[in-house]
Amino acid sequence: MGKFRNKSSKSKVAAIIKYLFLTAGAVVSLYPFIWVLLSSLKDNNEIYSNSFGLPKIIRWSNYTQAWNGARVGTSFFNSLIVSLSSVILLVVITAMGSYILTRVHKSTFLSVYLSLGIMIPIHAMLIPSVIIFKHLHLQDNLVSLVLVYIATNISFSLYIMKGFMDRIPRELDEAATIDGCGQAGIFFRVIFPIAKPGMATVATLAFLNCWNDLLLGLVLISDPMKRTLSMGISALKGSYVTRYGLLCSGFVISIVPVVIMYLMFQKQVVQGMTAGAVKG
Amino acid sequence: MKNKLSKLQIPVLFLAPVFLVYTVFVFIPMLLSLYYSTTDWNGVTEKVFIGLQNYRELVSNKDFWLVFMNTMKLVVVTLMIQIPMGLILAYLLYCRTKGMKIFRTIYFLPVVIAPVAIGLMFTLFYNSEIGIFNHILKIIGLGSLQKNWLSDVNTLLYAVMAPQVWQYIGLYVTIFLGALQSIPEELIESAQIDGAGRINAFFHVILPQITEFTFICILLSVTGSLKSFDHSWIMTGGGPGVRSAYLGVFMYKTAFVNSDFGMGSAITISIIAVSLIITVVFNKLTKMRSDY
Repeated sequence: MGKFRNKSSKSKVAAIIKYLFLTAGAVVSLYPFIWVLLSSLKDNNEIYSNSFGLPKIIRWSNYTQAWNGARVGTSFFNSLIVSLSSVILLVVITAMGSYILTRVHKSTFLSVYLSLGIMIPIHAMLIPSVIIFKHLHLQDNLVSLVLVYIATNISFSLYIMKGFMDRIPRELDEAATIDGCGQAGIFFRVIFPIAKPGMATVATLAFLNCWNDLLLGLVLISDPMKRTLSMGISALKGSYVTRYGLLCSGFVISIVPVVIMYLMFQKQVVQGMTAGAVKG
Repeated sequence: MKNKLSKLQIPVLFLAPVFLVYTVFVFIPMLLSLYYSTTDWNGVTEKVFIGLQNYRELVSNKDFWLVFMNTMKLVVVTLMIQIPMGLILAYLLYCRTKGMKIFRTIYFLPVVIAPVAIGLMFTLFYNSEIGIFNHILKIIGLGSLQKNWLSDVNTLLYAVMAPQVWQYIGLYVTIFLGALQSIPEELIESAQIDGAGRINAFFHVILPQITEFTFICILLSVTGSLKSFDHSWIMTGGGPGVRSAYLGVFMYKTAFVNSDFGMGSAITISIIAVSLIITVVFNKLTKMRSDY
């Protein structure tokens, strides 16, 4: 009996240590964001003197100044337009491609060729894409960003989408054929609607990649009015080095969309970001 | 004949967009990078073919080796911290923890945020006036350790690494947690019946079961480090000089600040080469293990 009690009090201690450790981890992950959020509502003096407390006077002016004065608003809409167009086009064309590669014409060559991109870092496309877009007369044009964002996301999107479509039972195709559907009809009426969860995974992950990109934007865009948010943040740091409240509000504005998306589509985000790992 | 043609129409039409966009903006650029790396070219004048001259210059360039070592240090530091931390936190979450989903949600949050934004955030934390690191040191009575983290030569590189290491721990927690959940429960139960302690069971029963995932995490961590750019770029611009630059930053500076497209491409190719070698070696290792 004594031994048993001893063991259970020991495991209680272990449990407490475990939760302390986990909570410490959670604080380290979350607190930085809370600090920035609070600081975004303070002025310099208060950030300095009252670093950890709640703001005494809430200063929304940081936000209006960042949004208008520092052009964060413009960058925000640029990022939104570019990311959404890239994601929509990407999802449609990879769904079409996966449909053919999984159900109509299984080509190992094409599948391998199209998957090579998973291993190629973005760096490999920087210099050549500057030259290519010069030839296409798309220099300093947001269309060029949409095109490279689609291109750099194709490989992993196909990988996820193909995995998903492979699991849709083939009897459905056969039934649709009997009902008189052609190949295109099967895709639009049968596969496309069923593959929506796969598309959601691809879309959330691709959206994050586009929204968070800095490198391609830096290389392809130079007009300040066409900056995406990552470039806007980068520029903000250059021109408002000591306006700490304003920098913080710029930060908050830039992460709000991804945080909302993450909380709403957590399952898809996690699935997408760990897809490569889980399937090996 | 006509029937056959129309049978091909849909596949071709459906595959064409993916194929074309990928070929023009991913595959051809990669080949072009390889070609550019053998030329002397500033992006404007005619390219001059110079064979492997760029690579020869690169290996005799002190800056390149400094940046290369910075990148390797990043690889080592991220591996030493991200993988063990990820595994420990995942294991603690896995052991019948209440609120597991909430913890996981919090740990994963930094992963989805733009690296450039995280870099900006840490720049503020390091700030000598308002930064929380100096504040905390002062509060716990270690005020003498306060410093300007991003200008002190001794702390600079590690200060630039910190946000990257911190940001992606959650990714590994999530992958490891998924791995742990895929282990059959009987296996762990039988280990417990055999009287193996928690720690013993972890090393002898659980760890061998998730080797493949561990390899994948290591690979992700290493290739992620080799590609890193954003954190260093926003925090210090890679400077002073190239002291806090990684290969990606060095490449960007060479190509787009100094307009040396030939040399920039040579650096790109070396980044790709290193990641490919590591990937291939790792895949071989994982294959060997699973065959065994």
